[in-house]
Amino acid sequence: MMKLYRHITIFILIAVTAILFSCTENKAITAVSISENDFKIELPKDQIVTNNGIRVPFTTYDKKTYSLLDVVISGTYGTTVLKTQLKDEQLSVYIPKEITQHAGMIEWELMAQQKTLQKGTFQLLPNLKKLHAIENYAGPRSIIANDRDYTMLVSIPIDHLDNLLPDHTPLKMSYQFKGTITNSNKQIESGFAWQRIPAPQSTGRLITGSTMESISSKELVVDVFPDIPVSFNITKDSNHNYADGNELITLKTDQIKDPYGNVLTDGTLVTFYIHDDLGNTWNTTASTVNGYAFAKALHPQSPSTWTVKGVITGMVESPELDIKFQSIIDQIPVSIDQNNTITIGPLTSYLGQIIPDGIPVTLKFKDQEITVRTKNGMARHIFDQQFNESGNYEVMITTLGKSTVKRIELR
Amino acid sequence: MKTSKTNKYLITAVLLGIIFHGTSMFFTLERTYDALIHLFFANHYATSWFEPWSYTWYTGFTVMGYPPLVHQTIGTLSLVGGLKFGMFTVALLGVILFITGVYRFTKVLIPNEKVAGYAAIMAVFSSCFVETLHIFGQLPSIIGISILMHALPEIYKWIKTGKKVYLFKSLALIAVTVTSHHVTPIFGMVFFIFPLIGTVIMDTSREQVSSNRDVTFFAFAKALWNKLPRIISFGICSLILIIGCILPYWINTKNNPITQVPIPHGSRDNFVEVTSSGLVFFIIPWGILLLFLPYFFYRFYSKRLLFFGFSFSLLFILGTGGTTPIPLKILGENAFNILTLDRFTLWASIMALPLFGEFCYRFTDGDYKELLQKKWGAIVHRMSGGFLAIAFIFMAVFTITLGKFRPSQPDTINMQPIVNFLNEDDHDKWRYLPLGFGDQMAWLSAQTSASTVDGNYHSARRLPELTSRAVERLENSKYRGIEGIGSLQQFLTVPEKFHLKYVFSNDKFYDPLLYFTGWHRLSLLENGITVWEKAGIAPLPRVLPKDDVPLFQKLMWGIIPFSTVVISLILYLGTMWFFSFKRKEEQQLFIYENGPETRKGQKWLYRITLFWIGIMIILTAFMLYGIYVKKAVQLTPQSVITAYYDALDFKEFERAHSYIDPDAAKDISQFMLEISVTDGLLSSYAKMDSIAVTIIDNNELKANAVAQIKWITPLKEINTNHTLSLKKNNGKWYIIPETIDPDIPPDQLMFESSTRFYNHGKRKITSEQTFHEDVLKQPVVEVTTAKMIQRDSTFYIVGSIQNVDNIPADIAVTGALYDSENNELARYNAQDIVKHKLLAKETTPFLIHFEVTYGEEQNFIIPTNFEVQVKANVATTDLYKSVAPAQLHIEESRLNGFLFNPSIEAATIPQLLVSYYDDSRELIWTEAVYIDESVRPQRKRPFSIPLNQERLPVVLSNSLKNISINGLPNESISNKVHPQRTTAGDEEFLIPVKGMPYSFISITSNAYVGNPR
Repeated sequence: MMKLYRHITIFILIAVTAILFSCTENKAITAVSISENDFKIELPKDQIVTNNGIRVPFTTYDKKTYSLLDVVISGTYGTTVLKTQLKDEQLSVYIPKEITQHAGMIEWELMAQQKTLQKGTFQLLPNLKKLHAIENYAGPRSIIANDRDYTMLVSIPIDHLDNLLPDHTPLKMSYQFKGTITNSNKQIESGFAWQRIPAPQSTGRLITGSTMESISSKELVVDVFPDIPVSFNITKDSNHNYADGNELITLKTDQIKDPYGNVLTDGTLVTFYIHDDLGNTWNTTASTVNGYAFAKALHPQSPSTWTVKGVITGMVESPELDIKFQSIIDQIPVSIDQNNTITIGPLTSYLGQIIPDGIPVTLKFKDQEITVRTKNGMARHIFDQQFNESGNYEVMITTLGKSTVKRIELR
Repeated sequence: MKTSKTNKYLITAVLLGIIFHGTSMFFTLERTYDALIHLFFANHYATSWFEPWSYTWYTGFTVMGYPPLVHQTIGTLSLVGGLKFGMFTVALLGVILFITGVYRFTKVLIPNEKVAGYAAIMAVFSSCFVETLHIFGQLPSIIGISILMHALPEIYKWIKTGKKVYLFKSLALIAVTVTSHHVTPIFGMVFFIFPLIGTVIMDTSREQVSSNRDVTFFAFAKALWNKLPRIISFGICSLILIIGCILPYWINTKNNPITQVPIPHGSRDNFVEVTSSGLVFFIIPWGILLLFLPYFFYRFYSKRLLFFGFSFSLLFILGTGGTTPIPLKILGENAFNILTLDRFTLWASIMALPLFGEFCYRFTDGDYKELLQKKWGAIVHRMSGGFLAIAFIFMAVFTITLGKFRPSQPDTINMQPIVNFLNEDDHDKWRYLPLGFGDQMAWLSAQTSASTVDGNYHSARRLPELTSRAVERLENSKYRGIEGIGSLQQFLTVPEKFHLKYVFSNDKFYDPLLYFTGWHRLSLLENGITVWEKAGIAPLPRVLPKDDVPLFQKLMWGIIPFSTVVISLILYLGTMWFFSFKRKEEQQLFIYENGPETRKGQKWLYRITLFWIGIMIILTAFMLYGIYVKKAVQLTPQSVITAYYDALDFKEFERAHSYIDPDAAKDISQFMLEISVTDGLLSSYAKMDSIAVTIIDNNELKANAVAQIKWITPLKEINTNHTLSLKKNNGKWYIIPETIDPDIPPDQLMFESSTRFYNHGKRKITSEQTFHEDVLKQPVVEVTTAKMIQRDSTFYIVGSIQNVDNIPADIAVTGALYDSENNELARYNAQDIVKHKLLAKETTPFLIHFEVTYGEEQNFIIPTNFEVQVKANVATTDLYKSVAPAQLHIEESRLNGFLFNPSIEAATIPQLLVSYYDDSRELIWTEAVYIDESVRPQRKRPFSIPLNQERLPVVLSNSLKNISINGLPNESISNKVHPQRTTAGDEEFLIPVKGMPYSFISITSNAYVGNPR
């Protein structure tokens, strides 16, 4: 609220002042004519940028008519019209700091009554004695370790008033990679110097910097990543090779590298494609850690042979790896009792132990397929009298890659 | 001799009103449908009074779509004590105005101080008023009708006496009404002022003759002729006011006509079919008044109030919504679909209040008391009076607490963390979208300077994405089924179009949709709201487009509403001043004899009323029985199955368990355990839409049934078929539980090592633009194939993308179609048929689906050219890749197999991208299949997917020419990064298919992880 009051007060004050000013009479001197020789500016010399502004004195002037003068100044910052000032009996024009702190050409023109009395130009030069910093840009920020890729370093040194330095100013651009420092002496052109840095053939961090006399740039870092991978081998790791459907097999790659021997970045995806001799397909993926990928897959439930291949799509693939799984059961014990119940089991595994719970047992009966799951090695199914007429039927029982056919009499 | 004119009933009513509504509104008003919207508008006026354009909602809209007085009042008051203070103050003002308004309105209809006092007291507890204020929160509507009621006596007096002061007063009040609510004066003209004029004429003609009987049509016409100049002058003046006071509103309505698809509203339902709408829009607003309908009609159709009778009947019928076809015919298709019809019931019940007041007066103090006490005896009369009073107040209390019993809004959300989040690090430079906030989204909008694409005043919507669908808000789109979700999908798929970067999710239902459209979770705020973010969205430009209006409109809008209030106050203070000196008794304005004393037809009325009350009691009993039957669901197998799934849908597991066969020995803890291990799209993110139960075989004690259920999920509609066995026990049906999968995972303890990523963003703690050295390079991805294809009359771009960089990428794929002259026909993004987060060297197929809408005169154009732009940003989250398809084999056009999850995180919603290839191994089609249930760590989830058997789509163009990656040509990238592409993996990736239109398929898996570790 206080702010609001203040704003209103200021606004009223400004309005009142404006009204007062517009009322004061302007005693213009119009009848006098000014000749070119009445006023002469002391020609400004080329000089260094300053943030104090520049006062340009007049060598010849007329105290009576000087108020009719206009000085048009045009610099990099823009164009403005200035008025002359008479101070201590000396007429001068003051170029403000907004103009004088930007390096470049200044054009000036002394005018009166729409006439140009005198004009000229002078240079504002960057202050090489008061340098401020080097602005560096590096990009791309990550490159690939091969002979195709490169990054670029651009250095822009500036003086304390943010002006670019003149052409041919010398500058040192450097980069460091794995302890090797490469320096190069460059000259500024159009305000900046640049350099291409070819990608090294090993991964790591490339650190860049530039120096010039007393000033230096920030440190900029470029990551060097590995190139496209080259062929690798795969192996497997499993506790046993039984097709019990309840054990994990680990598929491993050896260390995957690029053609220059660089290990692939962590998190690179490797896909393992698996085909078995029964026409089934699997795939499982893993991302690399230190170049190694470990993918897990579940053992099959039927004795079969897997053919495994590790692939990085569109780039490289491993040789095939064959894995054989053997059956855990020899036969399927089946019993059928009076109440139309079929019991499969006990199913025991290679040590005689009960097979893991949840193994599916498929019963092919008439045209239907019924799947029951084992619990404690046993699976049970009751044929519903409602849906099945009594009589003799054949049931095909399939589990863990084995099949057997039994006759059942339904009542 | 009276010493004071104060009506003690009125004083009582006002005090009661302040106590009853004043205390309860603090618990109800913020949870109403509309109050927070008005609060949002108020905030707009509080911050920019004269600027009608608000950028906050709908990517910018004008507040000239709603009369401003109430909003401006709240806005002004908010400068004193905050927005909510303003809202409660105005609501309290509304209560007082309403009660006094009913009092004054009653005095016009029945000029009896006591009757008016009774009516005022009844108004306090009238359930329609309670509902409008405490459930709907329609503050402007309440203020509007209250002021209109205050205007009625003045209009009466002007027409009767012709004194100009009454004209000015009535017009001033009409102006206030107009500036607070535009619909009220327009319909109020028809339903309140016209019958009032009729009543005046009736009174005038009665004064000309000696008895009621002599008021003939001729006498009436004569009186009308006499008063016509006054009526016309009033009519013209009020018309000028209605148009003039909110002129900018009318100009805006003309310039932006409401062309949107009508949004369904409960008040247009058939109340018999949709009983919940019937309850809210008919039973509750009428309440106890329903019992006295015969009395109201009897009284309204007495000669003097005849015109009010017509009006009352019409309002009553219009208020019944879609129950009968009459309202649709009266209003016409257009008005019927724009107006909410609940307001007619509100007005009808307000119109009935004076008569209800009169009835209560006669019942407790007047002639009916004597009559009934004679007939029934004093005790019965008192008891029935007590019963009525209790029922009336119970109805009010029931209505006020309705929001508690049947919550229409999500729980109150603490907005502070969200406001803080938006203020932090320039997050308000992007648009945000709240999901699952209910009407509280308006309160969030009022508190932040950030803007949203959504909004809560649907008449002001402008984006075609919103107006072309009957979706009220994106925020609650799940309640609008597939259409609502579709609308939301458009915004989430192309967020860059709206500069939409943040989504605040208060409902996990939407989370899968967000994930699969390429959003990722940022953080969980303290108030439990999940923040989702989309990478690579440009901030809002500094200058946004707006529809500017001329200065005079802005000035009118800002100045007139308050001036109307000031003028009315001056006029009223003037008369008060005048009266306090003159002490002039207000003269009786009309002869009144057809009132409480008349006996004509009373016998019939008595009988009909008793009969009517009897019907009502029977109906109520019937309804209660219906509720009981609904509760006793175990009477039939169908109802128990329906109830079981209903309980599961609402997560009322204890109730669901009560339907399970008690002999099955499945106690609640086992049941809950089984529920807790099910997760996934179906059990965690689905809403049951419909259920059909078919009994396949049934006998006395056993039954088998198939439940066909349609579920709405954020991703698709799911139809399931469950076969259930039931048995009867002690006369109740029970569901026999299904056996659970006995499979156990191999390992007890698991180890997993993986790479995780983190990006600092800004390393320096500063709100300046991110420094050069903190900006990461965009990952390089490569489009390996892209084709424009046509299937029926729809166009698609299909292709595949590989992340060839060494860092994970978050990709957004935009496609555009061009005709032969390179005019853009359509532009859209890949929605969910793409993996948005890719690890280094990972590949994904993508499909962009174009919905080209043609104007009436446009021809069907086949595009000749297409373009694909891929934007990649560094991804650090949601890089879960573990779920793997296993034992895939094709059997009779179905792909069978199972998903295995070797990781330590559960894959909540697995997605399989099934791609199809022709015989030259060219990718030609991709589709997404969602697996309905989750895959827990080290578990299997079998699936069986029907393969697409449609004909191959037509390939219109197959080219990698117009493809750009992060603004660079695709070709330059492949030449530089990966010049020697091989066919590694192609052979293994493709699964051959026989006897199908295509020759190969491939499977790419993806998964949404609901609770990442």
